[in-house]
Amino acid sequence: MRLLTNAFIIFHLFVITVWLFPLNSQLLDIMNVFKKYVIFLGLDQDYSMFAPYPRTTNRHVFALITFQDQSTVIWSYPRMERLNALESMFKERYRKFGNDNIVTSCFKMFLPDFVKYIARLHQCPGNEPNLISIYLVEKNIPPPTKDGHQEETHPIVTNLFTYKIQANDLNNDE
Amino acid sequence: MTNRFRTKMECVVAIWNNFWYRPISTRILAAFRILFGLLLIQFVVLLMPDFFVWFGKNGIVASNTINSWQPYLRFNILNLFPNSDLWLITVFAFFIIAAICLTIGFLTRFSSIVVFLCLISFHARDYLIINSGDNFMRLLSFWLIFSPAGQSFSIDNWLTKRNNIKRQNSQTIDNKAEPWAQRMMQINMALLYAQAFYKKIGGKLWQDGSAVYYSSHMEDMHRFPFVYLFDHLWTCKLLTWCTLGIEFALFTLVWVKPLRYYVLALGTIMHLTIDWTMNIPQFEWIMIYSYVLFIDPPDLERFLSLVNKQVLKKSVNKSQLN
Repeated sequence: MRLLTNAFIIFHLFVITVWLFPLNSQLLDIMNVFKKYVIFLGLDQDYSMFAPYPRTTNRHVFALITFQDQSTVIWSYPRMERLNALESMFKERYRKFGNDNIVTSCFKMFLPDFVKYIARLHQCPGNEPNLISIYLVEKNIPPPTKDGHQEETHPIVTNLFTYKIQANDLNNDE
Repeated sequence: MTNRFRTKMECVVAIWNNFWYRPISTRILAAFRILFGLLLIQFVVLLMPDFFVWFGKNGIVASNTINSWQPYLRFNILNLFPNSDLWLITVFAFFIIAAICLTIGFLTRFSSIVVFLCLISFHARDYLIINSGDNFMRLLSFWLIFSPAGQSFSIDNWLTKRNNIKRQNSQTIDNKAEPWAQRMMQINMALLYAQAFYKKIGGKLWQDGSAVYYSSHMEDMHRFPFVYLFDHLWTCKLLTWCTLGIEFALFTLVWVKPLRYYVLALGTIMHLTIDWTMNIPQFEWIMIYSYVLFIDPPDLERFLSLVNKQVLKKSVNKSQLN
């Protein structure tokens, strides 16, 4: 029993350490053998909050929804800075999803799902959403100064994704 | 030469066995289990209002997309019926019950298995809302499965004691156990700080001392204001380098017994400051709670007897007044 426990400890110490510190290609090669096990059991981990550097911009997301009758609506994704402390505590995962993840290129494959979700939120029989564009608004955080004085900067608006809604996108039982 | 080598090897084996297997009080682990369970309940409460937005069949991200995005298979019990909100609710209900059971220490091992399986399932279902704190919670819940977390401060322990009395079994319950799972949690915590430090140290903003300035000026993360501290360059620089120093100490000096509590105190101050200023609801608390795992069992015993004495003193005073 002790031998088994030792093997279990050593194996997990190894995979967890190498997962967190894949210092060279040999270690990575060894890690690849156990990758399936690590990911399957959710033992993968990464603690790179504010690393290698924190974001230097403030950002938020909004969507422009054009309906079949060509009327438009702007939908603002929940903005933490506009909520009180309790509300923002409950809505924090919106920040993680919207401001940290969905706007980055590695998660762009989720944008169509996001757009369809927005379309379902705005369903209107006889006048359904027709076209949805998602925009990212980014504003540089002014660099620090010795006296604490900050200069305002202008925001930059980028179109992240535009999608024409199909009839089956609004189907709730998809 | 051979004898010297053998002696050295025996010494290494003794140190190894002492570290992983020398029985220690399970009360520390039990205290951690209760705090961890409370955090799980908070996790549930915080998820509830937008539960279907994140995990539902008509949620913000479809389960098919998530599954096709992940290159390797992840355990996800929700994938048994991926488009059923009824199944989702069932799994969530099991998770809530298991979290409560884990907190009170009822069917502790079984509860910790259910908690772990549900956690990895929810994390796999919507990877885009998961933060570092969630990752650490998942890892800790894995090690809790192998730990004797239900051996103290638990319904399980109370039931075992009661059964022993009923059966007039004179055998006392030994609340000491091999701490290897607890050690793995400690090591994982230290590795977490090591990686956080390692990833930050190469960053230009961490080197020039402005990282705390930028992170404290992210409007979407603001919580409560801290007057002066984050508006001046010198304080921001000091805090940036202090953060690096404390993170470094939390994977190195934390293993040096005489320094341990000082390091943990500094870590607690750091996380409380972040929790006050930034809206990251659970991350700071899971880190602070994991420090409990580093408390020496005799210190906890001393603390508990002090509390007992105080309570006893108060009740005696009350009865004298009456």
